[in-house]
Amino acid sequence: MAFVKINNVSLDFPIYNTKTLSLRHNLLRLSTGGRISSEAGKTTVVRALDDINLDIKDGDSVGLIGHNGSGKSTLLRLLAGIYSPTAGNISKSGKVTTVFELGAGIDPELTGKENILRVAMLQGADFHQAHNLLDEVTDFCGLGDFINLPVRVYSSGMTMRLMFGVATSVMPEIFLVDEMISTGDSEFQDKALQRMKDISKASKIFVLASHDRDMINTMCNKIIRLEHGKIVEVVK
Amino acid sequence: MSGFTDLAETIKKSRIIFFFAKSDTQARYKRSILGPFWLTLGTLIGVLGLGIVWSQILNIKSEDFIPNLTIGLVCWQLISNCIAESPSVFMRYASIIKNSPQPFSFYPALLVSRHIINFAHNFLVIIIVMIYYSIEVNATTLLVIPALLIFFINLFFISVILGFVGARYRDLEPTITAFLPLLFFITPILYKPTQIKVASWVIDYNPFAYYVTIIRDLLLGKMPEDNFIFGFGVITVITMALGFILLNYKRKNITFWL
Repeated sequence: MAFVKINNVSLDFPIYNTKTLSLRHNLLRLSTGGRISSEAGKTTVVRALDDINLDIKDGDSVGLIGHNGSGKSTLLRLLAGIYSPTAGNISKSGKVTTVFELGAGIDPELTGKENILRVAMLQGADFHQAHNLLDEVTDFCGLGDFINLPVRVYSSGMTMRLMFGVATSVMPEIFLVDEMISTGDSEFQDKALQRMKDISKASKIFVLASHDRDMINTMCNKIIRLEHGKIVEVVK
Repeated sequence: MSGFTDLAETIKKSRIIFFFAKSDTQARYKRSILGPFWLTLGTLIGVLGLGIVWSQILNIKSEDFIPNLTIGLVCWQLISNCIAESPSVFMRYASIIKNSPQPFSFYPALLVSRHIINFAHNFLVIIIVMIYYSIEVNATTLLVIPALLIFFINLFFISVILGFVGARYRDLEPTITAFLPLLFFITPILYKPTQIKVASWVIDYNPFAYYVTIIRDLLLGKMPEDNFIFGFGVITVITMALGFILLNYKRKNITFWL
């Protein structure tokens, strides 16, 4: 069973300037007995998520909506375990797979196939599972002979196909997607949509952040609207 | 997740780490004919050049000097590449860290593995030189295998330490780059530790001197002196403890430092 429980979680981003990131300034601060410490030690803090309570269970397909900078991506990364909360606690169970940024873990010099292996392993497949996935993902991507060419010749839509294909094939229990499905052409978008529906039907957790209300409406059974890092509306 | 589970996860992923290290190396030399053997060739040329010139300047027989120099130089390349790249290891893999989280010790392990692959290519030069000067090997030489293993573990923890500090304090990387040439001269590569008459503390407090000396002595079939073996052990314990502490208490901060 997969679940994510978030209780009173807040997340503050420390923004380090050159002064706080520099060893010299910290040493200087020691040697001057704190005289300049007031300016050197200060880090700006941005509150990205503010007192979030969320309970996601098996079978939930959650759509995250909100303006740019409202905290959608941060919340996704929190769910993935990339960020640890500054306050509150989070408990979760289930294998996580993510489709966030284009090209993470991909080496442009290597071929599509070699990169499928790399991304699959980063997404949690072990050495043998990754090799077993190869044919299926190659098939799903529909890149034809391009699969044997270096990824640097791919268009962004083609790279997206590859990443999406891998992420969905490692059989995630918690599947987190940030926007990007919009990069593919319409034929692939249909294919991707179908695939995501299959995954959400397998009674696992699916969370999608998007500005596309139509997609959210067809894909998700729960919609959460974020504003300035707070949940302002939950629609079932 | 604690530092311990972090390490355990990384050990579980050792096969994947090796695959990544290999494919990173392949990617780097994708369109070259010699590939990573360029490293071997480069080291061979370096050893020949330095060996001939310095053995004449220092007035030492080349059959004595060149094997010493070769082993020292090959070890030094591994050490210097690891410590030069480690401060930026988490920045280099930032896109992976922010997209599909791995245990944090994964990245230093990947970096060190990549350089161990290069080291293996360079090791050919050592073998060539040892055969050319027909250096006798004995049972002691076999001890180089566990010694290398401990050496690699040391490098991994050093990489963890530098990675954490370097992610927080961006001045560390240029500092190390600036001090590397100096480190080269205070590490017994062009000479043996016994040849230093004054200021031997420079070697006493240089952990890299212990690595180089131990590996070199063992490869040449000689048992290292007791104080070197002792020092090697102490350094191993210190690097492991420090690396583990950082991994345990600071791992949550890494994503915010990137």
